Order: sequence, then C-alpha cells, then structure tokens
Amino acid sequence: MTLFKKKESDFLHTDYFVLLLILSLGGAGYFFFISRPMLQAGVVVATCLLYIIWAIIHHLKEGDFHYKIILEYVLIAFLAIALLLTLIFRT
Amino acid sequence: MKKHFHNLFIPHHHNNHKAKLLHHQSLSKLILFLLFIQLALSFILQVRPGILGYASNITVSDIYNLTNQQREKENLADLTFNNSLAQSAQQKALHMFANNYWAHNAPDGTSPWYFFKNVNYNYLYAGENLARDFGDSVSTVQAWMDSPTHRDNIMSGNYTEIGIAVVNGILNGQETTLVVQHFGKPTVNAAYLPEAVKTEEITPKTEEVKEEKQQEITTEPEIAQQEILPATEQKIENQNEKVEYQILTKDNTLPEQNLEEQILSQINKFPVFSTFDITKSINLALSFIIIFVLILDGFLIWHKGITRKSGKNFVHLALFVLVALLIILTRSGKVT
Repeated sequence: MTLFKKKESDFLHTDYFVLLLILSLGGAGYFFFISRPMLQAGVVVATCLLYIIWAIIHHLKEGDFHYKIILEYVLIAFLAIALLLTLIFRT
Repeated sequence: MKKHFHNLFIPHHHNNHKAKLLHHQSLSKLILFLLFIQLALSFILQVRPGILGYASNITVSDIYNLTNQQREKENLADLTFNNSLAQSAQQKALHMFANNYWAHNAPDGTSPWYFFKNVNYNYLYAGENLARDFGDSVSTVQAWMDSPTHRDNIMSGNYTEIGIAVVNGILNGQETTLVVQHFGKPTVNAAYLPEAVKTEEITPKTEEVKEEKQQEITTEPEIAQQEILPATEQKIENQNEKVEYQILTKDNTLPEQNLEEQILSQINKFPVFSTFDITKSINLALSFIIIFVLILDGFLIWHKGITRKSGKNFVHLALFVLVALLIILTRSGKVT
C-alpha cells in the first residue's frame, strides 16, 4: 500500500514536472522568436494545445476525467491564446 | 452591485461553489470581449486614421551612436555617417509611407538598391535594416541585434558608412515612426562623382560590383539578392507627389529640401494613443483579475474544505502567471 502510494505520488510529481517543462519551453520559445510574430504565435498556440493535452492525460490518470473539466482547460487555454495573440499582432 | 461582485469573485452555494468569473460562460465572454476590443481598435484605425499610433522618442543620433557602440564591442571600426545614405534611407521611408507598405521590396517591385542609386551612391556592399513602432532608440537597436540577419548588417566588416532616417507618418491608418538604416561601402573614387563622369565610369565598374555582391549574398539578408532597378524620372515624380500628403513633420509641414539638416534633427511625434499600449493594458489587467480570482477561489475552497469536480486552480494559475509575465515583457516594435 505504501509502495503504491509512493508510486502514485511520483506519477503526479512527473505530471507537474511535465507541465512546468511545457510552460517553461513555451515561455522560452516566445522570446526566442520575438522578432518573428508568426512563429511566436505558433509557440503560444502549441503551448496551449499541450496544456490541454496535459490536462486530459492528467485527469484520466487521476480518474476524474469529465468533459466539463476539460472544457474549462480549453477555455482557459483559449483565453491565454487570445491575450497573447492580440498583443503579438499589435506589436 | 455588491452581490454581483460577490458572485463573480467568491465561491458560494449560489454560484455552485466556484467564482462566477471562472464559469465556462464567463470565460467565453472574456474571450469575446478581447476579440471585440481588437475589432473596435481596427475599426477606429480605418475610420479615423492618425488617432491611434505609436509615440516614439527615437533620434537619428541615438541610433547612430548605439549602432557604433555595438560594433565597438566586437572591435569593429565605427561606421561613418554618410549624408547620401541618410538621404536614400529617407527616400525609402517616404516611399513606404507613400505606397503604404513595410518591406524591403515595394509592392511595385522597387528594391532597396533603387534608393542607393537614386542618390548616386555607388557601392561595393550595401544593406538595409528597417524598424517600426518602437518607442525608443535603445529598443530599436536591441531588436535588430536580436535578429541574426539584422545583426549581420550592423556587425558586418564589409560596411564603412551608414545613413539613418527616422520618419513619422501614417501607415495602414496608424501613425507610426519608421526607422531605416542604409549601410554601404562605396566603390573607390566613384561614390560622389558628378553625374556626367559617373555615367562613363560606372558601366565598366558594374561587373566588378556584381562579383563582389555575389560573395556578399551569404552574409546579407535575403534582400541582398535583388537586382538594382533603373531609376526613372516618372517614378521619382510620383514618389514625391504621394509624399506630400503622407509625411508628417514636427510642425506639420512638408519635408524641406535640406535633407541633411532635416534627417539629423530629431522628429518628435504628436501625442497619440497607441493600439499596442491599449491592448497591453487591457490584457494585463484581465490577466491580473484572472490570477486574483484563481488565488481567491482556490484559497476559499481549500479553507472551507469543499470538494468539487473542477479543473485545478493552481494549474490555471501557473499558465496565467506565465501569460502575465509574457505580456509585461512584450515590447512594441517590429524589424524587417
């Protein structure tokens, strides 16, 4: 039981590490392509798509997967895309 | 009103124990609101051009000094300021305003090299850097340095001279500042000869120049591959006609003939609202509101010990902290 709990905890830690990696790479990519708006926009969209995919996998693993929960992640990701893309194309 | 805000920000049984602002419907409305703001800004640009734009504090002397400072860091010789190149840079900026484009090559096919020829600058090497919508000289030069092809132009040992133009005008309905850098290395004894002498000497020298240019292509931006278009009288006339109503100088008069004096003097912009600043302010405010609600909602749910089936606030929070950070660090301005 203790071993199982430890494994489950490691699993979650790996999940959050992956999320941190996705967001960090997204942030780095945003600045790497600072002078190329189309690529910058591509990085934002890719990061948000990975965010949604991460959420699906994470909630499937946790056993509380529901379309309404994923819809929340989708809307949050779309809002992030809208916030950044409107700025990128106004620079 | 108080009840409405309470419903928006505080999770309780009336909003299904989740701040209303985090509900699907509210998130959808926020996305639509952002899109509406952008449509409204674009509409204003269309119907009232010149109201919105970029306020800048860029000077030719600052751009010149900062460019040479970058070269000094790598022990490269300073570029000499050349009035003919400054004149060609000025003509390029005016041409972009007059023809409403922002690119190395004009929609009518006019290449950057046309402007070099137009001021009788015969070059062994030539290059062009463009920037727009920047607020100050430092960020303009820094943006060029961050872009490999523009950096190559600034740091190239092939160039010995530079001309810079900082011109205000209305581009695509938006008041803005265009910065043009023209780099060059003149052909020996040919750059400033009178027209009559040049026509005799340029023809045999053209072959040599072309050879040098072929070598140059690898280090220059893609624009270096363009052929030089012949300058025609008609083209110059048309260009000047369009410039008359497009270009805005400090006192709202037409550019004078004394270009040297004009180019080297700072051109201050009129106070305007910047579409970039408006967008940045709104988006940043919205990001902070979302961050605030996520923290408050998450804390209250944890504090009350309520279990709910929902997305994880701290995961959304991580995304929005990144978004807010990116918005803060995003600066206006484009280079090409």
